[in-house]
Amino acid sequence: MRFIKYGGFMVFSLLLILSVPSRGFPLSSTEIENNLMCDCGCGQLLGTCECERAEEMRAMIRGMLDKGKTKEEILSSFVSQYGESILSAPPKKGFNLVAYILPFVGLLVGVVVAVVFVRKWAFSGRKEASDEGDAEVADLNDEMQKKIDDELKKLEED
Amino acid sequence: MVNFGNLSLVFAFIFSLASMALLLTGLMKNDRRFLESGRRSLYGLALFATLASIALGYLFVTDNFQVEYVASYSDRALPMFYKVTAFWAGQKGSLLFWAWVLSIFTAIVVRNTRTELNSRNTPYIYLVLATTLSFFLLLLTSVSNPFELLGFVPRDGQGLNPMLQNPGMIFHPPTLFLGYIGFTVPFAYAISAMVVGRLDETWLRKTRRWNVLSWVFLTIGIILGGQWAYVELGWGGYWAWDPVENASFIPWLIATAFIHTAIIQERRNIMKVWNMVLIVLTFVFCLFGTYLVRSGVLQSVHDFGATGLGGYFLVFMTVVLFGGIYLIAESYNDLRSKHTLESYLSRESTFLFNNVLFLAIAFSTLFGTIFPLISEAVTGNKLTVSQPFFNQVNTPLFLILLLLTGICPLIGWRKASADNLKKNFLVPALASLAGAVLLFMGGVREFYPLTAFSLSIFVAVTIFNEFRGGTIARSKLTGEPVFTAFPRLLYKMRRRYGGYIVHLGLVVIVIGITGSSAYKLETQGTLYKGESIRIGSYELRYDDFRGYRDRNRDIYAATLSVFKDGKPAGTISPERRYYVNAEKPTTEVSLRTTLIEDLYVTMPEIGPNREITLKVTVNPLLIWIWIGGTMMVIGGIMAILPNRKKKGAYDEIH
Repeated sequence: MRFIKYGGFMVFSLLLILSVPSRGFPLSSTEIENNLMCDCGCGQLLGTCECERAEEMRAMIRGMLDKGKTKEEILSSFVSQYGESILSAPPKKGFNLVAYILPFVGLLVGVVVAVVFVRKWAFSGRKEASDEGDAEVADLNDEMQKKIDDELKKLEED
Repeated sequence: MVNFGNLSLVFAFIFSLASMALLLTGLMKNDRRFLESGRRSLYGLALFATLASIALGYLFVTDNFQVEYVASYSDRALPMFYKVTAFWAGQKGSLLFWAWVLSIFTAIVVRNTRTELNSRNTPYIYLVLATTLSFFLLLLTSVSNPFELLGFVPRDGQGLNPMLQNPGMIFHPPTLFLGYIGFTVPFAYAISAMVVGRLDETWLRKTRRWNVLSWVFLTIGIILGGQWAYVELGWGGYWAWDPVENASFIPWLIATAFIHTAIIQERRNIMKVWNMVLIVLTFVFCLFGTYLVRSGVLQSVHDFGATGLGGYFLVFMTVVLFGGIYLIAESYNDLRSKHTLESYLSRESTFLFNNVLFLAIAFSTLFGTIFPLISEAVTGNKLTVSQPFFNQVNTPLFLILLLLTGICPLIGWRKASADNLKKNFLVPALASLAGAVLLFMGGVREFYPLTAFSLSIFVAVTIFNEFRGGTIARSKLTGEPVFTAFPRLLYKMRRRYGGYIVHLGLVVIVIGITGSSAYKLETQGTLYKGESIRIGSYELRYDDFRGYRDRNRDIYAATLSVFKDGKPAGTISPERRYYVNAEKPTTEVSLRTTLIEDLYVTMPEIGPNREITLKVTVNPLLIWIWIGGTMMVIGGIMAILPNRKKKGAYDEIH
């Protein structure tokens, strides 16, 4: 019965998600446009800007695609013409790698620090419990422990 | 009215300085009379800030173009509705709005603490609020005066940017500001607690509603900003990782982390230092957002240009940051508490890890935002950091955060036993696994969408389990039928279940973002009348074209019949608008929204023979982003609903 309830809930989620159409066709032009910024100074991706300059740049991309150039060749062509700032994300090389790596290094450091603190606090907690336990809690049988846990749980839920 | 506005601003500034002077004197002489006068001055400040705001509103409504700010953001043809909202369309009005709202919030705090002047904390709370207000009023009366006059009276104003002529403009900036401004109050309480050394959880208890309410406003502001970008900018997206968007997202992330660990401090009286750090950071990043917009240091679609205010904000921000660090360092020994946890595995520890993730995402967002400046300083190389970078770096972090959102409710407070974990994890994990298999078989093969959807199922099932367990327990205990027990459970334990609704809203947003970004379809084409364009299961046929005048704009609209799977599904009508006083025409999006997908059509070009260029996008599941956002807001509000027993709105917010 329990599984039927969960199943129903899951089926609803799945139906919703599966209603998503599958990917239609490759959008190579759009893909390239999203890797470039518009040159007009609007701060938008080329694919989203509607100014004349953006249209000129899009025409350049279409022209290069017609000539059979690859994505990398087209992007390099724009970089040689406008500099690296025309790319919507810094290329993964040299100093730029810092931008890609540092957030994950930060996360790792954060996790390590958190683990150290949790271990430290849990150790203090256990030590405290055992110190007190010798004197007071040693006689608690399982039933009494369960009662205390239940009471505490109730308190927390309130 | 110009003089009236100017005078009101000057008086507000004088009252803020007077309040600071009186409070400081009262504290130094330990004289209650000075403190009382300082307290009352804050009411005077709120009164004059309100009068100044009324004056600016009046100048907009009456088309007083002699005032430079009014002439810059309004014109005669602008509908009255937008004349009012033009108040906060520019930098000067935004600053006045900030000062006005903060003065009202300050008045509410003063009213709520009217019987607590003898408490050592209260004068310091007032002092922090008065100082912050003085900063804004100093800018308003000196370098950014909204009542500044032009040397002549223009026949008409320059008008409001057409992109800002959208209903989203009524609520998006003010709600975002309300969020930013609201965090000033808990910041003031935190500073006061550190100064007087009263470092227990009292300041957190007293500011809980301010925290959550500010968070709710920030959430509304961010969601509405996305919605406005979606329907107004015409690029088919809702979040561009623009520096100014990021600047609103960073304090939201830190504030969310703070709200979580504040719960731990309230329950266990631990993590006091950490909470102080988080509230100081939240406030600093609220200021940082404003700094980023005003300074012009980074290129943004929100750019106000280099307004000359950046330096002032940088100084104020630095003072707040280093002042906060100094106070935390000074109070460190008192803030340190005996931290004990019963187990490694407890909800407390998962909250700590979720904090790490929130801060990691905030850091990556901040680092990406300012990386162009860092790169230029280090290598001399100018770079752009936009959507692809943030999507690449933040997506895995968000997925881990989503996983933790599901794990947290499964692990009890204090200590989780192995049996308990097994029992709680089994069903959500199986549901998620089964979901992943079915999704894979259904064609969802890409790693990120598959992971995001599976984790969404995991989190949704854990939350559903919480609702189910609570309802059954209540039903058994009270004998109420399930349908009565459920809403009563939500109301009685609204703080807890409000939180779960926020989490459920997050899951719904993740589904919307994943569907709309991973399975988006896009095409573009030029059509003559009678021709069609196809995308996915849709066909759009160009039927008609018309041009007409509406208030302050000329509108050219195409009418297209929509067919889905070959069957008629209504019409849509993208427009191109030429606003009075606007340099460039704008595109008006035409949307066909269902729970499954959005059909999103813009018309970037109209040819000489009325041939139209269309940009058509199908955004699957996108509406769920707005639904999820609404759920988050409802959950947040639910969590701070007052108890019936208490009386008075003022008491409640406090």
